[in-house]
Amino acid sequence: MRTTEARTFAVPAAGRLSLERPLSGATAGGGLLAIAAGLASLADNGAEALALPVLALMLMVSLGDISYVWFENRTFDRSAAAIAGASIAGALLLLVMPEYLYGREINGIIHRSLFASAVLIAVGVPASITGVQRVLGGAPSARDVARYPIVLLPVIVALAAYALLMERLVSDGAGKLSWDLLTTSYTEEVTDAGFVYEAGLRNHILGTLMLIGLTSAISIPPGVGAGIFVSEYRGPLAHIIRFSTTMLRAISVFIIGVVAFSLVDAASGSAPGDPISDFIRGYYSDANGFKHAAKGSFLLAAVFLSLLVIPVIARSTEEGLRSVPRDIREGSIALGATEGHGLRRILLPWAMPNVITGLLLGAAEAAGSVAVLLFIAGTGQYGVGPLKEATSLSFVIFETKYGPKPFQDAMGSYEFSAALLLLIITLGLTVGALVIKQRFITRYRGSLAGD
Amino acid sequence: MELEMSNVIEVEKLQVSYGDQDAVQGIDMKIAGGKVTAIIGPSGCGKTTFLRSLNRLTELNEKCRVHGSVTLDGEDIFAMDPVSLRRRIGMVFQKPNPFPMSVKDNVLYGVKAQGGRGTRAILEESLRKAVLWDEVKDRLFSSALTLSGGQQQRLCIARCLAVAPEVILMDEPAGSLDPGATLQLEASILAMKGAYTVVIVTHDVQEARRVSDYTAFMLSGRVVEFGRTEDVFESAAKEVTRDYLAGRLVTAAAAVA
Repeated sequence: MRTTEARTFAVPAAGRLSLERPLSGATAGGGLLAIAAGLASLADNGAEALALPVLALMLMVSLGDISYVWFENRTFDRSAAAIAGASIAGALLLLVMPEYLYGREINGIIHRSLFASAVLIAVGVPASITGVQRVLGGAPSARDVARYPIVLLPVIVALAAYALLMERLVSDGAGKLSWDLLTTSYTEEVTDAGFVYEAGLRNHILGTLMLIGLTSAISIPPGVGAGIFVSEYRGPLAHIIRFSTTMLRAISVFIIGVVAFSLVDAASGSAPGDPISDFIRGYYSDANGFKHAAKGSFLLAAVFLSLLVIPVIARSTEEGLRSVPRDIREGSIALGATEGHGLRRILLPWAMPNVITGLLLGAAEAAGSVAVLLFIAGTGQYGVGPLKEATSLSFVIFETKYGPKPFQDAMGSYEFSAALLLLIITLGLTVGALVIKQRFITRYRGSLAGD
Repeated sequence: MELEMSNVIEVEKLQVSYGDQDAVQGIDMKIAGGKVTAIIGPSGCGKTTFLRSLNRLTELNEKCRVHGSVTLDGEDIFAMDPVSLRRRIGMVFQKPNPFPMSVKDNVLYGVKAQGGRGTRAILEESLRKAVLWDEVKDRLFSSALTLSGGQQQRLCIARCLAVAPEVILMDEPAGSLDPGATLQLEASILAMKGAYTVVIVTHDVQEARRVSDYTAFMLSGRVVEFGRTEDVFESAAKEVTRDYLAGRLVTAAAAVA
């Protein structure tokens, strides 16, 4: 049941001072302050000291609210009471809680500030929203107030986590990015004086793009084909294909990496220059022009990455095709169009936005996956090409801590720069895909804008 | 142009069922060439199913079973390739279903789908026949979805006419249109007389009277009455037909009586 509105006095009685707006403003301000304090104590344990004063402030504001409504209206302001109650309960919780919580299974300690920030955000979100809503002339009910934290808390926590992540990436990574770093290939050389190396991310950036491109090219035809087959044709074979693409998704990425490595291992018998060796292991030429086998080629990595991407594309293609309205399908059939014609001219254009979504998810997977590359990628000193040694930005992040010693020495401080670049690439992909997707939606699914 | 009275479609003992539910229970009907034949009847009497079995759209439903014989110009339609059958028997649906592409591409879709060349002449002629040309001649390249509901429905007729079918099936084509758009739609149906054989399903008996030469009244999957439209409307043989045309409630049991 919906609770009755506590506030019904839009127009204050003549000659009386209305506290309506100032009090709502204070609620909104207090709420925002609580959210700010909550985020601060998420970032810094010391900031939990803010919790009790802010909660006391919220309590006083809500009590003022309650008494004002009571004297004006003889009604009880339940939403303010909810905020007051939450402030008291939260403050009591923080007062009885020890500073550190020791978890039996957790190899560390949880500080009270985590709870302080949860309490502050939980109180601050409904308070600030109801306050702002009232300042703007709305009349939120107690039920609305109860709903806000559920709806908005996850959003705020996710945004906060994202902000913290970005802050870390930018502060530790952006400063070290330079044009030189982006355009230099990483090299290492053994000389009489020991290892000589030059830091650089050029090959890793290009390698990431190469992996995205190759993987997409390899996985689109079978992915879209499987999606069409499963959606358009009935029968046991369609079931089998659907089941196997689903199962493909369930295989551990690590196992795919191991299988890729086993191929490399099997190819180690053939000499560099032999197509089997070149396709699987990749190659590089030394200063004297001799061909050497590398650890694993971009092509090999892309083939195995596409095992992860095909199921995603297949599923999203299938969903897109199933979303074509029945009367449009029948319209095409009734005009004597063959299945192939309808598929090309109507069904696939309609399903295109879904295909693009699948491809985007897949490309991000190709860019970010380390497990597949684990055994077959190298440090990126031999250039980029389908048959060159595979490498990528995500692999750099891994190798800065677990790679060969010279690589760690040269590149150890660039892991956040690599992460930032990876983020920029995937962000660019996302934005690009959204733009193309929107074009397809406007073009082939119709929009109110028309022309 | 008055065609000689030849029957284009002959239906014998047609039965259609979905699972264990019989939708059409034995229909015999001869559909005259160049004429408009209306099929009327209450909801659920099987008239749409009957219509959809004529171009074998019923086969899209896996559970659907069809028995009996239907011939088009003496040829058994169930022995024909469904795609070439549908090239000879076009269909307009209850809800306008333009494809999400331009007006021009909509009209020429069927032509291109059948391997023909979509010419400007076909485009203009089809739109003129559907009484839509004057309204869309300046927006041939706009999306068909920007047209009004009535225009979209006439576009669907034009799309159907563009492939020059012999027969056009219409499943309550005015079902979702307002009275004005309905009149324009009927104008384009009347314009087709003589050149095309039209079978139109409708639950609006006055519409059947306005556009058709022959009327069939269906009840519970059977044809209760079939004859010239003026005969059916003015001197129906069966009492249940007169009741229905007068707007009185009819029961399924009356179909057998």
